Amino acid sequence: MNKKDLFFSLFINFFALLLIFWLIPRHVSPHATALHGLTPQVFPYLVAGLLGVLGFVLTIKIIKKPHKKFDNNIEYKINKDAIFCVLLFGVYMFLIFYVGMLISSLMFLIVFMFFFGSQQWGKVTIISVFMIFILFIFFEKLALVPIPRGYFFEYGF
Amino acid sequence: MEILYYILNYIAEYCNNMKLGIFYFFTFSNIIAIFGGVAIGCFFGAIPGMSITLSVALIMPFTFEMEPLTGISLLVAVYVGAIYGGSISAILFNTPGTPAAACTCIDGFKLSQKGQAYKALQIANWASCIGDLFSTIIVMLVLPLLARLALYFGSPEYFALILFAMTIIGGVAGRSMLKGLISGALGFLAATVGMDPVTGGARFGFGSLELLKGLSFVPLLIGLFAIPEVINQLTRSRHMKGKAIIANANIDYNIKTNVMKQDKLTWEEFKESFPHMIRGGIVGLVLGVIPGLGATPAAFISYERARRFSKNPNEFGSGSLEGVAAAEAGNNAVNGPTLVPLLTLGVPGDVITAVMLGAFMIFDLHPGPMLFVQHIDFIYGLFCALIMCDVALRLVGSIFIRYAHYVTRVPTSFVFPCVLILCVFGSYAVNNNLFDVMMMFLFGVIGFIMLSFKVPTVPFLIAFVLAPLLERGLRRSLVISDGSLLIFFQSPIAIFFYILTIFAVYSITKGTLKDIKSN
Repeated sequence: MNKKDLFFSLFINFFALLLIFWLIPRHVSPHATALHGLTPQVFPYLVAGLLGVLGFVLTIKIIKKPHKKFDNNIEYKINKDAIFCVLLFGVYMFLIFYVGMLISSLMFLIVFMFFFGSQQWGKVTIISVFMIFILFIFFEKLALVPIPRGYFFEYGF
Repeated sequence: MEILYYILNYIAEYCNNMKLGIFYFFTFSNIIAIFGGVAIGCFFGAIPGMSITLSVALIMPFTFEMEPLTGISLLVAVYVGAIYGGSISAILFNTPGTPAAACTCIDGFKLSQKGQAYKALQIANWASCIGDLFSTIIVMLVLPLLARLALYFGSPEYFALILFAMTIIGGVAGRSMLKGLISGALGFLAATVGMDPVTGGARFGFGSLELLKGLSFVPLLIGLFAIPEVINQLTRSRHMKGKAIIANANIDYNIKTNVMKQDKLTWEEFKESFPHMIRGGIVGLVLGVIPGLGATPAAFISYERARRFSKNPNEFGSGSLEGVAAAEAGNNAVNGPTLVPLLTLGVPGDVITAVMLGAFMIFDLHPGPMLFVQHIDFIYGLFCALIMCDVALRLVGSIFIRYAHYVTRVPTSFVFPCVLILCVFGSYAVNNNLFDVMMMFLFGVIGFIMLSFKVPTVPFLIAFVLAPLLERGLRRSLVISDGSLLIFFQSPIAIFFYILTIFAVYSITKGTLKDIKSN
């Protein structure tokens, strides 16, 4: 029995129940004036039901399956590097709100390049600055997309 | 006599529309878009891990300020370039840049090892252009006829068609059908976020005005496809302690000198491979039109056909130019035909055309038969763009192959952080809204978690695109029929698609059960 798959199937079952008994009743409008019986809740309930059935079938299939050999494939593994990556994204998003997209992207590029193995200060700095400069020119000047400056630069310290 | 009159009338109309398309297409910006797009596509396609979908998704935000034909031409050019670009790392390093290039590895890398890398790259370039050109010309001639048939589609017919298109999910589910269906169901659920299309009732708004607008397609696409790959590639790079270059840590550096040797393709070698290129074009044409199949099976089927008809079948598998030509012609020949269901019916045939459908909607163009009525110059301009893509592929590709090995040696620690920044700026540019960037990261994390549990993300995207169309078709039909379900069974076209759906479900289920039994 593959524990990872079992965990996933149980999660899907739980999510389906959560949808049916809490998320849809509370967060999808029932709408009194439904046309031909199709309220906004119909499709979400159908999908939730489908998820529940699929999750249940998957659970049964996994329980019946013989034990699989350990998969030591490194692709898409949730390891500490991946988790740290995700945390860095969170910090990056936080910084965008406060110091703006350009500065936070420059900082993030440099940090990421170093964290993930590059050891060439010169190349990292040049590539990062060049990349941000090109993006600034394209988006702000050519495409007229106003890049967020962040709270500190818009409203002062 | 009437038939002759109809044919002559059709030809005259076609020539007139083609003239319109040529005048509309041949502008400086469109030509630059085509050549630039092919170059970008070749670059991205040559990098393993940069899938075609990711390449197109990354470029999409840059097209928002362009004219519709320029923007769509750029995306098509990136698509064409990326399919070809996958063959470069396949031949040089036995690492397909894109899944469609996996077949090219078989003989391409063997040719590299024999010191014939340049020759292999040249034949791959020629085969890609000729195969694609052949299938595109056929599509151009037939497409307007198919669009006329599509005028007979109403809401019930669209509902039946979208239901059939949903079976694509079974085709792209990968090894686990159940997980693929779960992914599709999650995509369907994501599509319901926002306002109900008929009553306007809130769905999963959680009190947020941003969520009530619905989830934006481009950030979701970038999040699902780009972010997991970025995390994956960067953790791999860290696992290999930063020394990983894109292709392979154990590359034979002697291959570089082989590429520079100028071992050119001869006329006799080209003549021998030419029939396989045309055969590959036919295979790509047939398979490209069928939703859900894509370039990879076309490449393998074309390769197998080439081996059957070749005078030197024993060479296949140990370095055959004909094998490379067949594989490349097959996988590139699907480019034009995959647009057939999209342009005529507004239904995407695979994940790339699902992305293109998003692009069409951003440009306020609604694919389907009415596009041939309201924007005929755009359609024929797109035909010109498809032909020009092949010309650009030949020219840009022949320059690119001389320097391709430099591209594939760029460290992942440089490339993928830059890709990530492009994702952020691209997601922001859709609506000038940081909420979209947050959604991109959220779906990126969700996509990574899905892939870590071996749940494919492609069905999620396809369901996300098709679900609103399905719901709209169902509810419009019920409004027309005043609630009667009989409307879905009164049209012969709808019944035809129900039969196709049943057949598709049966084939997919049978295939899955066969795999389970053999495992």
